Amino acid sequence: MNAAGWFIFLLLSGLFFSALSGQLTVNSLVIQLFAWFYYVPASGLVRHLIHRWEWFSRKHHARLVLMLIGFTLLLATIGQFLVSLFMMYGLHIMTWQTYSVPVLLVTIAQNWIVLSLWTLLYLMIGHYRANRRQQLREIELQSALHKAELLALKAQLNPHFIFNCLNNMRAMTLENAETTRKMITHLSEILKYSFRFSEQTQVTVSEELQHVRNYLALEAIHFEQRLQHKIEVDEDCFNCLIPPMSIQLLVENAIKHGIANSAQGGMIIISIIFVQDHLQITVMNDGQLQKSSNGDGIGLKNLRQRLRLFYQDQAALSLQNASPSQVSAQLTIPVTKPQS
Amino acid sequence: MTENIPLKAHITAHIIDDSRLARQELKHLLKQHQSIHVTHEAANGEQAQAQMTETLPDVLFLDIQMPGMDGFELLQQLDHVPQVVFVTAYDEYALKAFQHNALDYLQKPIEPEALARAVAKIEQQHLNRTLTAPLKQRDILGIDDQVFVKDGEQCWFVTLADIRLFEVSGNYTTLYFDDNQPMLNKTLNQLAERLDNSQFFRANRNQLINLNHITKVEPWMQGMRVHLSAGETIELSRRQTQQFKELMSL
Repeated sequence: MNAAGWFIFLLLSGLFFSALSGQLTVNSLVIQLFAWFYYVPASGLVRHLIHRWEWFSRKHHARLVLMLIGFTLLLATIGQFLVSLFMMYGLHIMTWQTYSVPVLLVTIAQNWIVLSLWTLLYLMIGHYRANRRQQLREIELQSALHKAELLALKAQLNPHFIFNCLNNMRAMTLENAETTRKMITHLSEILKYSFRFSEQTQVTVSEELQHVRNYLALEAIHFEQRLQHKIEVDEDCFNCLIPPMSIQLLVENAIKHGIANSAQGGMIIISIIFVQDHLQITVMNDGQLQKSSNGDGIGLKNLRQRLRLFYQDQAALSLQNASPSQVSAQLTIPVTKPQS
Repeated sequence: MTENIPLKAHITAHIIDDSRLARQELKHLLKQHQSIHVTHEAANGEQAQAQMTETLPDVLFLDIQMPGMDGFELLQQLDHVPQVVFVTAYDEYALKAFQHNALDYLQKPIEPEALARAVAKIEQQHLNRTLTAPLKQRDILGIDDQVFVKDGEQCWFVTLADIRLFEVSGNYTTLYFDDNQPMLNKTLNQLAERLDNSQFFRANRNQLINLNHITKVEPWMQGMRVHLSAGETIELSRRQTQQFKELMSL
């Protein structure tokens, strides 16, 4: 590329000078070829120096610019001197007597300008590439951060829940071995799900619901008759994609406020329907929102952030009193289906 | 030949936990410990409080998260606070409170050895108490009784002997012990009714003092004033000065 560039340039300038003097001789072509053999390694040397002087990683270039100007001038002078020697002793078309200083200076200046332009072009391309690399790195960093953020925000299984489950199982071994076996299966499924989807950003509604059913089965054993639940889902919703643990988080919240807080317990209703091109997931529990409670708990806050990172402002989460005795948490998510 | 009478401990216990299975499990584990007799169990704070106005146990196994009153709130409601062992499944907030305040706790599922250590401690404390306070009067709070106070993150089981001063703060009462001055959500009048008046004395409308903490008594204006162990100076009202003299047979 570099060699080809110099070849074309010197060929053109040779032709230009020949045309100027009105004659195209083999000699002038040979001279240009000689110059080509000189300028290709010379520009390579400039390139080497640019990197050696760490041009691209420095902030201040004033001294480097001076050094480059000086160096290219030196190279152009040496080059022109060598060409002159070649013309005198190689081709015998010039002697020290016919040697003219003004012509020498003009050709030196000409070659120096070209060498400088070459250097400038090299620096520009270099800077452009460095910029591109920098931008790419920034984009990669951004997306890595984004992913880390999503993972960190992922709803974690509540250790309080897990240890209560284990305690209940230990108690249940004395009462009913069959129920204990079922509890172990439910908890295993829950753990599998949370390990499996800890690296994933979306799951299908039916996968999430299966998880929620396991969760509710264990909570129903913990709270006994205090926990009642109902699940109503449009058939078409089952293969839509949602963030993992999102429904479970709403259910966990509903249990915390609607069941665990109340001595007689209550009912949890989960419903999923289509509303235009959105999926509407509603989880209701008995009770009323406390006006004094200041905003979301950590779980809801995390879910909100996950929604924003993943769907920008296409998804919404709202919490309100649905009736004088019910609270509803509503999650609205744009419909996406897995590619199959 | 020395006579060795084995002191067979008989310690009554209440279990308070909203989960039936959790209560079941703890009862099962406690079968290994014959000194502990579980006499009552309750599924929430209100039920527990009602039971404890009937019979006060020696020890409470108490869950924190419960519907209605939580474990801490229940303790604050009690006049007499028995020994308490908190029992909870992993709960960051509660664990912090237990550790910060050096409270006894067990984590569900309970490790049998941890329970054995807790029971050993209960037996030891029970023994100490029965030796120092042989006769417990039901309705009067003696100096060996303890109350539970919670002030924000901090909480204490305070033995009344350590409290030198009770002071009115609106509907609450500020307790002074060691370097702490937390508030108890009872009025001074409510407390005064329950305190043993051979140990505690109402100095004036706003202050009630522990007689054991008086270091100096001096005449003051038309009445008297006393100095307490930590340097507080309490003025006795004129009416109370007379009573104080009678009490101390001055």
